Amino acid sequence: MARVQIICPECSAPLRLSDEVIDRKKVRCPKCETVFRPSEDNLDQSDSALLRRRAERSHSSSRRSDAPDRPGPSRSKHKSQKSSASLVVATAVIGLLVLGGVAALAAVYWPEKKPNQPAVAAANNDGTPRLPAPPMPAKAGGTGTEIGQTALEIDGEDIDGKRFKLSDYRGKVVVLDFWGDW
Amino acid sequence: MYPHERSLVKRLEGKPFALIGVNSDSDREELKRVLVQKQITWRSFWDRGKDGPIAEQWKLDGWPSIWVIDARGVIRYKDVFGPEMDQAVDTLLAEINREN
Repeated sequence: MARVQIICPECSAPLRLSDEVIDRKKVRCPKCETVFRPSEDNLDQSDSALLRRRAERSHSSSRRSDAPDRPGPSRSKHKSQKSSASLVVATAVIGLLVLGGVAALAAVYWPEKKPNQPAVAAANNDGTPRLPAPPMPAKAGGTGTEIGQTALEIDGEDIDGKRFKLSDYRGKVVVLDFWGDW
Repeated sequence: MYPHERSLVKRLEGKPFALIGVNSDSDREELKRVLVQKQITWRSFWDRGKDGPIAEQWKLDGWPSIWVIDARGVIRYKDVFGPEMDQAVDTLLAEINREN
């Protein structure tokens, strides 16, 4: 997963974050402590790699809203044609952004549902299709917080001050959910 | 978020499954009110605030964050939301049945 630069909307401090958090999570600025949800508005516009990925995503969402089907940006693998290839990609990206904008406008002005829309079951909240990563094979990966590792022990208190541990739930499938109500 | 989690917990009642929260609110009394008001029935560790020790150890990058852990305690998925969360849990529940 790639890291991108986000600008804090409060104090303008730059934050390096995983691009996975964009539009999905709230983060806390280490400098001014403001909690905010990073979006494309906070994106450092010089981050071209992310812009390209966002354009690809807007391409897939424009497909979902029944926009005209056009071929996506094709990334050239030939190094010798790199500059012309990136020009093509850039043009395609701009084209897709316009297409995405048109699709968004269309969604605003013609919001009626088509009968044959794809099922939302395999899509994220933002409409991008995403399947779970394949489960990792069981192997000794040590203890930690990464996929494949035995989950780090949590020994803490519940809201009523009663002590319990994450490992109390061994033998059960556990969804560990970090949350806050603010 | 809450309605989905509530329905997941309800759907898997009686199954070897637990939804465990780690809460990063700083006001404990206010949090108790939130639990009642928003019908949050599952148990949470209280991390005393956004800078809590659990968030630090787990290198949290934002809220909400999800880890899905199998019956042997191994982390198998991260940040699966909505239908994907259900799918991940169902996959791991099926695994328990296969092993038994």
